[in-house]
Formats: sequence, C-alpha cells, structure tokens
Amino acid sequence: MTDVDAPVPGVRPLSPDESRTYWDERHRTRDELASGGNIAFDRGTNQMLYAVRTARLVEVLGAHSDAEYPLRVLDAGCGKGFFSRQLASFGHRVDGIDTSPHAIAQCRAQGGPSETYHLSALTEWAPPHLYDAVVCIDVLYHLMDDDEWAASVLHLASLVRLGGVLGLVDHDRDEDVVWHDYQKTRARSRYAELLSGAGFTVARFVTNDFMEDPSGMHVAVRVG
Amino acid sequence: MALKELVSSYTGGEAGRRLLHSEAAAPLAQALADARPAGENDGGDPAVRVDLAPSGREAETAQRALGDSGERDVVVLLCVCLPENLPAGPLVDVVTRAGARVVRVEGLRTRHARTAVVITRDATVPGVSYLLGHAVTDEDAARRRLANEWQVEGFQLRALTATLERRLEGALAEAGALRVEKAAVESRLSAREKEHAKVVASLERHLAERGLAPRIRKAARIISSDPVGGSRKVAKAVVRRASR
Repeated sequence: MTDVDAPVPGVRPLSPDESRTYWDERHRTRDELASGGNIAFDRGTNQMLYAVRTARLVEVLGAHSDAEYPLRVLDAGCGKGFFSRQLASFGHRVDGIDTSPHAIAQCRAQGGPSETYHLSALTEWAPPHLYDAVVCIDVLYHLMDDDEWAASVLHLASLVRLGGVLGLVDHDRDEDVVWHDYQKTRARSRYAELLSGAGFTVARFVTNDFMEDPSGMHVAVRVG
Repeated sequence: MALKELVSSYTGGEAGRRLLHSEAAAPLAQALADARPAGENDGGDPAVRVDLAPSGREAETAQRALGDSGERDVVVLLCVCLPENLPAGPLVDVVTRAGARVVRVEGLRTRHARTAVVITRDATVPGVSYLLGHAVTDEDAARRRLANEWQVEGFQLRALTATLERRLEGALAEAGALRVEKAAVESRLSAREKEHAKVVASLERHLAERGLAPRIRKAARIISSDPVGGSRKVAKAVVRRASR
C-alpha cells in the first residue's frame, strides 16, 4: 500500500539491508494490519482494506479450489501472513516467505496445517516443486534497487508452472515514481517487458479500488 | 468444480455443442439438465458426450466413447474412482492411440463420480491449467515448457512419491510393532492382576481363619486416631501376641 499521496522529492532510497531492517522493525512494532497495510489508516480502515484486497485475490485466482487436491500458492513477502491464511482458508496449499524474523515467527504461531512459512528473500526461495500461483503483495514497490526488483520478478516468475498465474502488486502507471525512501513504483511497461521475456502474457491489472489507492495487481499467465 | 459448470464450459460459446449422455451416465442426467440420451441418429453436429466409467473400466469406457465421437466432439469421462486411483497407463494409452488429447482433469464431489477427464480430438479446444482454467496453447514455447516441466518436476514428484512411500511403510511397520508390544504388555498386566487377586484372596482367607480381620480394623482405627501413641500401642500388642 502506498503510504503517501504524492512523491517526496530528493529522498535517498533505503539500501536493501536498510529496507529489511525497516520492515522487520515495522513488523515488530505495529499490529498485524498496520505492519503491512497503510500506517496512515486506523485499524478499522485497514480491516476494510484487507477485506477488499482479499476479494481482489479471489478475482485473480478464481473461485475454484479443492482442499483434497489443492492449488499450490506462494505468498512472496507474506508479512504476518494475513493473505496466506486467507488463501489457505479457501482450500489452497500455501507457502509464505518473508525476510522479517518477527513476521515469520508470528506466521508460524498463527498458521494452520495448509501453510508453511520460511525466512527467505524473494530471490532465494527455490523449492523442489512448481507453483500454480505466485502472488507478491505490497513488496515489489518497496525494493528500491532496480536490479533487486528485476531479479525478484524474474525469480518469482520462474517458480510458476505452465498455465499458472503470477500476481504482482504495484501501480499501473506510465513511468517509475519514487514516493518515499522505502517506496518506488515501476511503470507497467517494465513489468510487461520483463514478464513477456520470461514466458508470460500480462492479462490485466486488477486495481485495489479502495479509497483512491492506486495500487493493484499485474496479473500474468505463463504461456511458454 | 460443479459438474454442470464443467460441462457447460464446452457446450457454450462459438462451438455450440449439444449435450448428450450415455445410458451409464443417466443417473447424472438431473445434474445435466440440458442433456439428452445419445442415440443412433445424433447427426454430425458437434457434441459434448458425457459417459460414466465404473472403477476398473475407465480405459474401456474412454475407448468406446471416443469410438462414438466425431472430430469436434468433447468427451467428458466421469470416473467413479478417486483421482489418486486413476489408471494412468491404460487411460493415457487409449486416448493417445485414438488421436485425442486430455485437456482437463479435475476432482468432482458428486454422488456418482469423483473424477472428470475431458478428452477431445478437436485441436481448437485448448488444454487448461488445473482449477485456474488458463488455456495452454500448442505453440513451440508452450510445448518446450511443458516438456521441461514433465522432465524436471516429473522426476521430482517421482522422488517425492518414493520418499513418502518409504516413510509410510516405516510408519506402518512401527505401528504394527507397537501393537504387538501393547498386546504383550496387556497380557503381562493381566497375568499380574490375576496373581495379585489370588494373593489378596489368600490373605483374606488367612485373616478370616485366624479371626484377625476385626483386630486389624481395630488397629487401623487406633493408629488413625493417634498416629504416634496408637502405633506404639499396636506394636506392643503385636509383640505380645507373637511371643505367646
């Protein structure tokens, strides 16, 4: 979620290590909604935000599930696991990864039998199986370094099987915008270029459509 | 996925296929409200043909259904067996030799069938990804990706299956050994309980013969009312009795 309404000029972006420290501290000090949601919202508004975004996830992944023969989903950058638990409650089998030890500890404490949680950066997670769907919610626009961003997108893409879906949250803009020292959104053309080279077709952009929030999910399907 | 929804995804749209069901699939006709029985005079219009395969007869049913179907028909084979029991070898063999493709396989929750296998010779009907329903094309890149996934992930799944089977066998063997041990412990316990009961009965008989039971109860009352003094008193009485 974008915490500010307008770009802040002249900021020095956080380094990858500073970013990890910032998010681990945010997960440690804020409640489970504000740590990953919008820190400018009160709890009730964040509650609504998360409800709306859960509905968007259903829109992206479809309404079909089978708890006996489940879809395998990766929640990349799961934070405290809210969406992982929601996806598992729909009948999917979910792996959640995050670089914050505090967040992962909380996920494991609250998680159920259909979820596993692991301390891992986006580019490091390489399980022996493929996923039917990989979602990366409110993470990529917090990677300030372009190389890290591109490597993360491509690595997550590599984990998706043929016919599977990749959902990447960002804005739907014509250009990159630096909003804050920990927030940079990338142009839709950059996603399209990276993903088409990786064997995906970008099907659509599903906007959050909540209180003028411009964030949404680039939805891509692996076709080759 | 509901059966009706699965079937209607092949009857609707430009294809406009009719919906037919075999005699075996008649119990499902209610769930397929628009279906009519397949007959001799079906004509050349493309159709979705729903058939029901009892356990062990999946390949035979598929072969018959494909034999009755035209180039643009879609066969929806409803299998009674669970997905994990699908006879992959015979079924894939029959479909492949008939020049057809499996475009979709999913679990069902109907009373009559637990697995649906959708088969067709129509090249315009795409294969779709499991549950997500995204079309998988026949282009070079998709074929290459599919072949690579089959090799790499196929091997990983083979290895995982073997590992899980070994773990299951180990767990079953351990459970069996524990059951045997439990039975042996129960047997020993039962024998000891019988022995204990015999000893108690013998002691009670002995006490009754000697008239000691009332004395013992009196001693217990004395000790409980005055543990220190009572114990001394009872001990002296025992010594006196023993010295007689």
